[in-house]
Amino acid sequence: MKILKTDWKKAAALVTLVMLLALVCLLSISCGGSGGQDSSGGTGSATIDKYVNELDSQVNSVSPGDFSDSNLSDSSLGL
Amino acid sequence: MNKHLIVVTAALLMAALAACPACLAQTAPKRSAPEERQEQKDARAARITERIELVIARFDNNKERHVAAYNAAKARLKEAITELAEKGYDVTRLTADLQAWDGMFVKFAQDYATLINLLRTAEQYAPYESQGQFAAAIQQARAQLVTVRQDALDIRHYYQTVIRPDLQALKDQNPSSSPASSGT
Repeated sequence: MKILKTDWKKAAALVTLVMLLALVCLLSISCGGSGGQDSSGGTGSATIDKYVNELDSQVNSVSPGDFSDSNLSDSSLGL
Repeated sequence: MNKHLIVVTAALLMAALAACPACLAQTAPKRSAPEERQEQKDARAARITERIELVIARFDNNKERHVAAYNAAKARLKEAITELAEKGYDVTRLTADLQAWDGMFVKFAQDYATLINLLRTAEQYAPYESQGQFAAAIQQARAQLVTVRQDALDIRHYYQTVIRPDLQALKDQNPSSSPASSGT
């Protein structure tokens, strides 16, 4: 009877351990799914951020104000 | 006798001096009032033509900077699409965005060329002497300049409201191991 009681305790501890391990695995998978490492090993989010920053800089390097209508005002044409 | 001679000589000299400016004035060609007006108009027209050339040079310089920036941005976006497709991202939307953006660059270049043509046309008309043709050409150029400015605004706005969010949205994807089609 005492032996049976000890086995039951061991089994319960084992099940708890397995459940904990499964939880850890699930957590790591859910974290890795968004913005973590991609299939090729590099971080996709970092790559995207790099391109966004470069494009921001290129697009903002010129201003539509370069074609302001003041360039063709009477005074600028000497009229 | 001597006194008389001196007085006569002095009188002759004074008469000659008094008459000299009048002689000089007669020898210089006198311009008529219409001629003077024409000369003033010609000088003003030359000045306006010079100003238009300056404006065109400034616009050309600005246009070159814009085209260089747009080409660099387009190349970078193409690069991003290729790299992200290789990593397994679905870049279908971004590829379509690039195509639409490219169309905007083409429109900008065409509208800019029209603006310069209108300014060159205005240059050909002498201001005040072409029955309003000069004024009309300048007015058309001003309207075209508004279009060119709007094109530049549209290019920037499309990047900020469409391309940038679409690129950022790729972060929500969980890329597959097999590369997606880049569509380019």
